[in-house]
Amino acid sequence: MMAEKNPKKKFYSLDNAGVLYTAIASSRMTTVYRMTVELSEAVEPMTLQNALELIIHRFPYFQVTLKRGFFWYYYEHTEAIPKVEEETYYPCKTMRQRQGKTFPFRVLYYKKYIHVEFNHSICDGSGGLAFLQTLIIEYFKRLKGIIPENIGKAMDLDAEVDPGEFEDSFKVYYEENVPPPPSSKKVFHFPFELLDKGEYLLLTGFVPVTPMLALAKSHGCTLTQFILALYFESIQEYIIGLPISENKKRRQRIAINVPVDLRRMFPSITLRNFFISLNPEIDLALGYYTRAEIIEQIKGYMGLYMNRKHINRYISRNVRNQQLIFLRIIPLWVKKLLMPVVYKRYGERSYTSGLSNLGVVTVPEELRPYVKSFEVFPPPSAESRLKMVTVSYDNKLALCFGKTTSETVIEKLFFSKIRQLGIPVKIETNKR
Amino acid sequence: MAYCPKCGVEVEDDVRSCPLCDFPIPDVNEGRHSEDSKYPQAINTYDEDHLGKKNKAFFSITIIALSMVVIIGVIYLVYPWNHVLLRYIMVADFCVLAMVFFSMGYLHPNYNFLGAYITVVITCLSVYLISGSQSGWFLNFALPIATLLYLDVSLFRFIFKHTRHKSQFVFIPSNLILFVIVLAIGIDGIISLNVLGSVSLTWSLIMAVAGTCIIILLQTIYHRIPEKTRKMMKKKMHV
Repeated sequence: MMAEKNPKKKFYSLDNAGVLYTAIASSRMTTVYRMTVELSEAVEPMTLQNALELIIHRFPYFQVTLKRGFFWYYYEHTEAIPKVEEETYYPCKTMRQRQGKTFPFRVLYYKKYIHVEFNHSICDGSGGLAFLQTLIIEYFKRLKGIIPENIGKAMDLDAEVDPGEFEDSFKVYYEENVPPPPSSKKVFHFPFELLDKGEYLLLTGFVPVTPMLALAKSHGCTLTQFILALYFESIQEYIIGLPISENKKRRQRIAINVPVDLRRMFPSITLRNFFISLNPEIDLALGYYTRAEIIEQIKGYMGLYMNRKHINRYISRNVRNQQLIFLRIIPLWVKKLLMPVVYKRYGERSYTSGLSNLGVVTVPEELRPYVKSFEVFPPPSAESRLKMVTVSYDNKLALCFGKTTSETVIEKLFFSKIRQLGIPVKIETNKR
Repeated sequence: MAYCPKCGVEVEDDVRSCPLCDFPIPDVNEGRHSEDSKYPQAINTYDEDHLGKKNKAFFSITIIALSMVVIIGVIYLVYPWNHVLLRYIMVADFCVLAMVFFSMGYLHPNYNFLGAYITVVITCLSVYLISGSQSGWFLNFALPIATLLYLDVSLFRFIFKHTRHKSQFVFIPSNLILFVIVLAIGIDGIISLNVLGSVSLTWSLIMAVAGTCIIILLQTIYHRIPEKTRKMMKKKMHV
């Protein structure tokens, strides 16, 4: 054995969210999300491959392969090197497991675009972005010889691997005796026809950040809350527009799943999953909500529930569920049979759609002329057929929809609201 | 730069209609398409991946079935041992293989279903011929019951196809009850025809009446009683 600088771990047990994601993964719910970066010139595949080979050693916890245990899946270190591929398939395609050869992520390129698709079981958006930023910096170091001074959130390739980078922070902050959060109620789901299995549509609307931010300020809320309010309003408008025979639907609740990055609330540097979802909701049985009312509702909800104490109830419930002995002793193949059904019935019934804001992404000052935009797309899902992720870069806010339906009625309402506010929108999609 | 004239959003240069509202966008820059498109023409690999697994499973089952045919055939020809039993095993082997093939879904669902029906009929016929029975059970019972089941399941599938997007708590039970009623009436008819020589329904009528009541109840709960009928009923019943 060669003496290694970083003693590499051989096994990585899944984190709390990872356990769930691997159990529910199927050919439709692939649990794979995509991050796209647009460059100013066409991608050089060879350079990208070199860059990937150089950075992968800094991410030993990503250089792994998913293995089946008897009770759970786990990740095992592999010496194989991931390969970049040209994009030919539908986005967020299922990740097959072939013993020792497949990775929980893939790096794709097409023309000016680099796509990195991560299995959600290995990391969340925050961890994925750190990987993507490191990849871009290394790519331009190889291609143009640019060595940036300040690498921001990207990883320093010469630094040692900190064990904190792959810790399961859910377990760290788990407290045994915290009572579980109140259970959620059934809400409205989009009744749209599903696409064929294996297909996934993406639709991005680019809007300038400054006017959106100014509008959010004038309503006294954050940008995320403002986008969320517009999204709620679009869904409400769609439901109100339904024929009178669908009367029951017009009295349902709308709830949107908003993941909260916990790294600021609970100090952690982990690159693996560390988030909890909150479900702000409006109840249409109480009547029509104006924009101001929706914003008040969201602000009130977030003010009440986005704090350490309440979030800890979710963390503790989730970790406790994972540790229940009678759930642990069920063999994996039984779990794999039951979990998709259980999740479809109970996991996704409490939200209509999802909206995740990854915030502002930056690249080093020297690379800004070469990097034009960032997009992040949510993993496909059968029950919540339309989900949104927003990310902003260089005064461009990308509102990225990922959907398992070909209906565009919600996006149409949503973007027409933004147009009515006098903000220009640019639409890009993979629908043909 | 191209804009949708209807919803006012900027779209990619090479699109023919607005991705949001489907409004046609006039082609201003003829010719230079697809070079600018952001995504490739995507390939869906689901069927391929799925088919690979299915083919493997079917291939293994076929090998096992065929080797059984060879073994039984050799024993049948070479070794003078219980020939009738060997014939039964052979029929069962072919029947299982055919059923597995049809349940794998290689063909259109309707053909698969028809194939399964024909397999059942042929298997029954073979067993009937091998056993050399004198009672005529094949024509009297097996064929009519298989045909009845085939038609009944076809009816169920047809109705289910048209109602599956409606409330599953109302329509699935209604359809199932309808299925059972049709089946009961059919079986009762076949039995009475063979035993008594004429169709006279007995127990199936009770089922039919009870089942119909449940269906009507479920459908009324779902659709509610129309206002006009409700008024009329109130008047008649003096409430």
